[in-house]
Amino acid sequence: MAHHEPKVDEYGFDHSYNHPLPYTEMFLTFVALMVLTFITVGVTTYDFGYVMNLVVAMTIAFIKASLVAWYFMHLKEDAPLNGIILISSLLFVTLFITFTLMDTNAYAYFLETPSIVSTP
Amino acid sequence: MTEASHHGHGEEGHHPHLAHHFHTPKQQFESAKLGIWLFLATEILMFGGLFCAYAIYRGNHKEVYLYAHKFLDTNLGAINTAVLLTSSLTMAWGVRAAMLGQKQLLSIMLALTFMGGVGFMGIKTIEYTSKWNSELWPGTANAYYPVDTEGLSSEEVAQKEVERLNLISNYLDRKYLGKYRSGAVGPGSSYEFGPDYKYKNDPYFYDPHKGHGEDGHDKEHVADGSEPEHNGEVAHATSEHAEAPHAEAHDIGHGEHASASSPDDANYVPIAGEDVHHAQGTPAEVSMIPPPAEATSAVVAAYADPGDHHHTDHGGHAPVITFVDLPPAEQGRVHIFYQIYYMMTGLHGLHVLVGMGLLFWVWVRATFYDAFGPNNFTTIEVVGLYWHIVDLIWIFLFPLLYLIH
Repeated sequence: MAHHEPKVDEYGFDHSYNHPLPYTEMFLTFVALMVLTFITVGVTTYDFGYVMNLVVAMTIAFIKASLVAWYFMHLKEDAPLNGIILISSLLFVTLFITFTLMDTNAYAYFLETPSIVSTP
Repeated sequence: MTEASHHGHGEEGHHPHLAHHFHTPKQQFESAKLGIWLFLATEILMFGGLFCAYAIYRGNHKEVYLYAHKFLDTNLGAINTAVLLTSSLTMAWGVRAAMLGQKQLLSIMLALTFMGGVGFMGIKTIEYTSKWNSELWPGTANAYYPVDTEGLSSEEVAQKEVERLNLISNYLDRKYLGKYRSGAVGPGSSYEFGPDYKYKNDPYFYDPHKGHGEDGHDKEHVADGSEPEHNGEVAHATSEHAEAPHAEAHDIGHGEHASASSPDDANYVPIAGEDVHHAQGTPAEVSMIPPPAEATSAVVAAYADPGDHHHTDHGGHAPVITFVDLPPAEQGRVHIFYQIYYMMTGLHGLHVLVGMGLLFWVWVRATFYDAFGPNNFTTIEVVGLYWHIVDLIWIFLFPLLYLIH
């Protein structure tokens, strides 16, 4: 966490929460996001298998989302609570989807017929 | 507003932008941000429901996604991603300008961000329009929606079914195959889809000399050609359901599924413990009461098992799924992909519109009312956070919808 020197206004209040995003961080983030977009499109022409292609695409999306949140959304300079809110909401979405998929996958692939029953 | 309240209460030395119920501007700012972050968390949870629907449906119907997503334009999606990322940059730049008190720059950046939203929605409009012109409507108007048999005579149902399959096979799948063929070099590059076109006889997709030697596959190609397929003869269109598994077994399955799709096995019910089909990745929901032909779908097997040899079978080209390749039970479910697509992109687009409204409002306030400065940029920051979360959701939507492989 980069800490700036305290900024005090004419009323004596602390304005150290005013953290303008440096140009270097801003443009490097943008360039990284654009490059990652090109990669995620280009990588679909390669076949890593159905699952791995999904994993690669989601990893790139996750990196991009982290860059946006960390720099553009100022989580780097924020109170940690804001980041905790973001991460916990993502965790709850993951829980939600995981449990639903577990439930879906719990059903039998086939209607199970007792083996003594002769098939029609 | 803040100016008025400041002059109203007449306290000497009171901070002009500090509300009564806060001790310091820092506390006020952090409270505002905590509030917007809590709101953004609820936004993520709301989209989470749609992502869950997406995940369940994709897990159970892989081939539907692989087939249907080809009607989305990857280039337009990528351009839209770039537009949205650029607008995120200008938004972050605008927040920086507000923090530093660069008022003219702030006004410019807010306008540019707004224009980014206009560009995004414009491209979205082009995409939606081209889909609607191809009858890929949301809801029951979708071309893939199964024929509603209620209150119709069997002749009318048959007629409607023929029309539907005709549209899909002779119009939509032609477009779909054209997407694969574009940029093809070598024989057939100056190629058009005539009415008698069969992609399974197309050397671009099925070149007998590139992939799989001469172990009898050529014969199957001949057999393919003699089968009555979807070459514009409407009378045969209704029989496609029955033919699809045969065609798959010949072309992709190397014959190991041939017995399962023979008429003798039509009533075969797998018994408990017989999990041969597990390995083939048969979709769960489909197979609760499975038609045997569907359970042995070679298309499913080819995609569920990346270690399989199918990927090299066609001269390095990925297998192409057309509508008749889909298992019969999946053919009636293609439209659900579009419902999910329209719901996810539609809700996202709605958020873009809301964000544009907010941007317009702060732009007016920044430009004509001089409302923001280094001690009062909370509104800009909060609108910026909203705009970025819209971008964040699109970052996930784009690969999930447009880049399925």
